[in-house]
Amino acid sequence: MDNIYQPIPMRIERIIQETDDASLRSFELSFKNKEDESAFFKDYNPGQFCQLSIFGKGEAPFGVASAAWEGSFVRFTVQNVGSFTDTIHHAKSGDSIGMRGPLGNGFPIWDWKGKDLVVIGGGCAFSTLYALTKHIMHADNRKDYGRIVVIYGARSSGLCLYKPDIKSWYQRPDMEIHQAIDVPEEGWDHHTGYVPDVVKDVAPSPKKSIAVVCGPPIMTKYTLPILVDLGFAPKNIFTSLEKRMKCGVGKCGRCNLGTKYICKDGPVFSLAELNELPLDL
Amino acid sequence: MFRIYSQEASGHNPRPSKAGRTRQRIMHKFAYWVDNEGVSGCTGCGRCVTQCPVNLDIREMVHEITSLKIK
Repeated sequence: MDNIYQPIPMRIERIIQETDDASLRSFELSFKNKEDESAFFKDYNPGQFCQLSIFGKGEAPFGVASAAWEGSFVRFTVQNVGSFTDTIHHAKSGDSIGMRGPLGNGFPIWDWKGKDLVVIGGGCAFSTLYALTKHIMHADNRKDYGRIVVIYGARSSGLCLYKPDIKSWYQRPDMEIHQAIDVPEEGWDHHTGYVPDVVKDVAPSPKKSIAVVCGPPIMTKYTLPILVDLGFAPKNIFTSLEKRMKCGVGKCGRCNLGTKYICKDGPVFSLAELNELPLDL
Repeated sequence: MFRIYSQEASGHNPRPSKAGRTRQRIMHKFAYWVDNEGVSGCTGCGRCVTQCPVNLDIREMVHEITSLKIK
């Protein structure tokens, strides 16, 4: 019988410094056992998260930032905010790390086939939206979806994640990308301003569209009403939430939001579901 | 209920008001667990009543809530 608390042994393959101030790093992990790898990718879809652990240091949830087709590795983008994330940031290529996953419900992409997508992200929360976009952009999947509009805001151009990939997205004819930074910078010729205001400017059409918002709670709080004003129905607006977690599998109740568990019933919720729950974002 | 009750590593606090934290404290043990699992989330160990630095007793709060009549 499977032990749901036992971490899968993983090896750190590549470490990429994402931001200029080194506060955010991406870690690409490979599986030490092949059967763990096939079991993982059989269950995984974008929007899910995993619990990463280092023995003696702790365990924390991180959103998966890679699509299944990218290779036999799993990417996580980690922000250095505390003692555990600091330990991860000091890890080197070849180090071992434990991983439990994929956990959570992920984005319901099978329901979104045939629709246009508006993907709105802010700061380091863009990681799961990056996984979603990369999944959809793959040749096997792209024809199942309509137009894609990506709006991604960061505090400054140096804090933007996945810079090489996002730069290549401007050349693609099958998606529209809008980047934004909070304050004007020399040499920046995309949008300037906070993401909720940029969404108002871009004004994506709600017709046959799904909107996905992932960002710091304050950005989500202000973007959701703007989408409702633009005409998106609450059941077509999705967001990914986060909370302090312990077990990550729906047993301990630490991450509850009302009667729902972020780790089991989420982290992806539609606005229609959120309207029933207390607003402890 | 102190500010660090739900505070996350990034510094963000999803329950910034005392009302939100108190609601979570009581509903989590006595309402959400009952809805989800069918049993009370409180084992009755009494540690919270003994340790509370400001002498709040959760039994009194729950008693007061359950004795309110629904209008």
